[in-house]
Amino acid sequence: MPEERLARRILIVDDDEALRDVLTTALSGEGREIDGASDGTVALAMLEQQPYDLVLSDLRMPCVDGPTLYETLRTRHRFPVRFATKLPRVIFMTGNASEHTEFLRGTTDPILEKPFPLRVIRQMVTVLLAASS
Amino acid sequence: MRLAPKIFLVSALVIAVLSVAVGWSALTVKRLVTANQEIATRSVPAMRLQGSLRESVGSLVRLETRALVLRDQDYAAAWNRRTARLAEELTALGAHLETDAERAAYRRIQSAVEEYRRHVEAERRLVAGAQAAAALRIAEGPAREAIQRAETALDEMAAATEAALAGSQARARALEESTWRAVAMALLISVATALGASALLAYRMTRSLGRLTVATASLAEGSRTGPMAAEGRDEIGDLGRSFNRMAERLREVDRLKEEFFSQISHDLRNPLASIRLAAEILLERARAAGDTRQARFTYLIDASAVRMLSLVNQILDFTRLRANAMPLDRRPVDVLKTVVRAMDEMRPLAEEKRVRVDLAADGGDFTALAEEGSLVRVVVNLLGNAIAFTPASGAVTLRLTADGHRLELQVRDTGVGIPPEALPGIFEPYRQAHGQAKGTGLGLAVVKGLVGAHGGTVRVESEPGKGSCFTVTIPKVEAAA
Repeated sequence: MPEERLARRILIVDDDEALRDVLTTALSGEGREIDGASDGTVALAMLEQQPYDLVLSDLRMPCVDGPTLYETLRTRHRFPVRFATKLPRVIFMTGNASEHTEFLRGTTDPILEKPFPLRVIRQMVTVLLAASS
Repeated sequence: MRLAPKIFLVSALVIAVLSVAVGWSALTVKRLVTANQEIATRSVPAMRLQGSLRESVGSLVRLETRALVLRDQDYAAAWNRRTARLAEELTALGAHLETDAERAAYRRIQSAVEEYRRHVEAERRLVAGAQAAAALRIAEGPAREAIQRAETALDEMAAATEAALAGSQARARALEESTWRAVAMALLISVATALGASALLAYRMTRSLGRLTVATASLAEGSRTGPMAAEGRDEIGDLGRSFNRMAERLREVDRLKEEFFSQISHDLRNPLASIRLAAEILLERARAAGDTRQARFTYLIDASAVRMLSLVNQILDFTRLRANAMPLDRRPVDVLKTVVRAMDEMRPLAEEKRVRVDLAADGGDFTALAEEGSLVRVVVNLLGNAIAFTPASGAVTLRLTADGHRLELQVRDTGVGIPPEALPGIFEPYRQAHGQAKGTGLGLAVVKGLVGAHGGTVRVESEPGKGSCFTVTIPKVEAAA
C-alpha cells in the first residue's frame, strides 16, 4: 500500500493562532499531516492546491467565515472536472453556539463548542478520518 | 385628516342635524299655533257678534211696537240707536266671515234688516199722517216677516259658523298629531345620525388603537417581526408609523446586542479553549514522563480554566438575560439526555470532591420544546452548587419526572443546607447564601432567568445541616405541537 494513501491531511481554520498551534500538537501523530489557515480565504486557497480529508473550521472569522467557507466548498465540488477530490469532512468549532443558528440547523456536520476537552476532539477526528478512508 | 378636524367635523355634523330637526319642529309647531289662533281670533268673535245681533233684533221689534202703540218719541229714539248699533255689529261681523254659507246668510240678514228698516220708516210716516191703523198693519205684516227672515238667516249663519269651527278644530287636532310625529321623527333621525357618526369615528379610532395594542403586546413578547399596517394621516397613523420605526430600531438594537455578546463570547472562550487543550497536552506528557509536580501544576491550570469558563458562562448568560438579548432557539429536546450531558460535564468535579451523583427518571417521554444549551447550563449550575456545598462522601440525587404536560427536575443534596434567612433572596443576583467569595453569585439568578425564559419555575427547600432540594418545572406541551 503506498505511503501517501495512509497520510491523512487535516486543515485547521481559525483566526486564533494559539488554538491552531495547540490543535496541531494535539492531533498530530498517526501519520497525519496538519496545516493551519488563519481565515476562510487562506483555507480556500489551500484547499484548491491540495486535497484534505478533514477540515476543522471556526465559525466566526474575519473576511470569509466558517459558513461561507463551507458553502463555497460545496459549490466548488458541484463541478468535479476541476476538483477531482471529494468534499472533505468538516468539524465546526464555535465560541457561541447561539450564532449562525440557521446554518447550524441546516448542516449535518458536527459542531464543537469551545472550549472542548482534548479527548472529545481526538475521538471525533479519529472517527471522521476512519469514515472518510 | 388629523384627529382634531375629524372630531370637529363629526361634532359640526351632529349640531347641524340637530339644528335642522329643531328648525323643522319649530315650523310645524308654528302651523299648529296658527291654526289655534285662527279659531281664537275668528270663530269666537263671530259667534259673540251673532249673539249680540240676535239680541238686537229681538229688542228692535219690542221698541218698534212700543213706539207705535204708545206714540212715545223716547222709544222711537231708542229704536234708532239700537238700529245704528245693529248696523255697526253687522259691519264688524262682515270681517269674520269665512265660508260661503256664512257669506250667503250674511247677505240675507243685511237685506232683511234693510227691508225691515224701510217698513219702520213707512210706519212712522203713516203715524205722522194719523193713519195709525195702516201703520199697525205694516208692523204686524211685512215688517214682522222681514225681521223673522233676519232671525232665520242669523240662525243659518250660526249653524254655518259652528260647522266652520268644528272643521277648524278637526284640522287643528290632525295638525297637532302630525306635528308631534314630525318632532319625534326629527329627533329620532338626528339622534341616530349623531350616534352613527360618533360610532363610526370611535370605531375607526379604536380599530387603529387596537391594532397598535396588539402590535405593542407582540413586540413586548418579542414575537413581532414585520411592521404593522399604519394607514391614515391622523395622529393614530403617525403613532403607528412611529411604532414601526421604534420596532425597527429595537430590532436593530437587539441585533447589535446579539452581535456584541457573540463577539464577547467568542473572544473570551477562544483563549480558554487554547489554555485547556494546552494544559491537557502538558498533563498527558507530564504523566507519561512521571513528573508529578508538573502534572499537578498543569492540572491546576486546566481546573482553573474550567472554573473560569464557568464564571464566563454565568456572567455572559446573566448579562444577556439582563439585556434581554437571549433569544431561545427552542427545539424538541430529550431532557433526560440533556441532564446526562450536564452530569458528564460535572463528573470531574464530583469525583474530585468524592461526592456521589445519581439520576432517577420517572415516566417515558421527556421531550420538551427547549434550548438544549440553556437547559445544560441550568443543570450544571444547580449540580455545581450541590456538589460544592456537599461534603466528601455525600450524595447528590437528580430525579426527572414527566408529569402530564410538564417536566420536573429535582436536584437534592446532603450538603450544608441554606440558612432560612438566606432563602427568600436566594435567586437574586450577587446573593451568596454562605457569604463565601468563591463564584459570581449569579448562578441561581441565571437558573431562574433561563427557566423563566422557558415558561417554567424554580423553587428551593432547605434544612441547614441536612441538605437542599432545588425543583425546576418546565412545560412540555408545545413539544407535541
